Amino acid sequence: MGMATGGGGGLNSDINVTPLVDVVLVLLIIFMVVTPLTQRGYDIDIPREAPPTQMPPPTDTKQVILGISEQNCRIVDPLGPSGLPPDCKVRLNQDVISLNELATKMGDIMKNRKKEDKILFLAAQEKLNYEAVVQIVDIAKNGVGDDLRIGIVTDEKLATATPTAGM
Amino acid sequence: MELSSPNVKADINVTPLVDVVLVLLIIFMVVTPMLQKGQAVKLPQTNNPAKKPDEKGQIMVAINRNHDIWIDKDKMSEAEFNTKIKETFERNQNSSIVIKADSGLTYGDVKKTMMTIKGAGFQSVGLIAEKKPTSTAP
Repeated sequence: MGMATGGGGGLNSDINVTPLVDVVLVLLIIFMVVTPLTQRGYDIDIPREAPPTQMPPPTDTKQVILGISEQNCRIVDPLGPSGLPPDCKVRLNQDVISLNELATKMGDIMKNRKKEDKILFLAAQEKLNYEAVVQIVDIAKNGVGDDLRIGIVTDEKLATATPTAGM
Repeated sequence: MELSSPNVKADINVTPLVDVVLVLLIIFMVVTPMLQKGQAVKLPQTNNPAKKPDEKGQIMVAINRNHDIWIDKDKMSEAEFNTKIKETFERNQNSSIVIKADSGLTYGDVKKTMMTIKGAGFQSVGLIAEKKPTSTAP
């Protein structure tokens, strides 16, 4: 071996690059795998005060109730690969709207509200598929932003209630 | 230093390669079971779930497709859940609570659990979802 030493008087600092690259690549791969796994979800408020028990009259726009029922949106069975049915409609207070309009309508309603008034009450029939309901809530939330709070209406009849029926 | 012959020699050092592979293997063996906190359920997939960081002391209620229910690591029946959740609230009044429910359940199943949690005293609950994998379809 006729290898000349690199350094001058005694100190040799030829760094081995190979272990360095090993360590860097392993760290990189670990972070690539772990980062997408952080937990994600939705906050639901379930305060002690009672949620709405009847559909608010048309003139009162304070409470916003999102009604999801089987007759307007066929989501009783688990969702297939195509997701929510394209003809799915939901009830936002008195209006029956399609999902495409849901985000924009939610945005309009909540736009000028103070943060503590940005609440959406969810009234969905109990037989509906859970994933589908969460997806619809996700669409509504996307129209408003992260400060929208979601509450649960206990009486599922509000999913199909109309303001003039049996009040 | 003698120059090697002009032909390219490819003597690969196997040692660093084996090092890397074993380290990766060990890391995944250790880390993966710890990553999915709670039971394995098929989470609902949505377009844009908000990040819900894993808070210390967060209580996780898991419900799988067969309606088995867990509070953190303890599996129990529905009747036990009603009592145990109250005890859990007594002990951890300031903890946050989340529900990891299977996507195949009905909304009513999850709502019933949420109402039970409310009855125990919690004022808000998180629903865990996962982000839909990005697809190339329009």
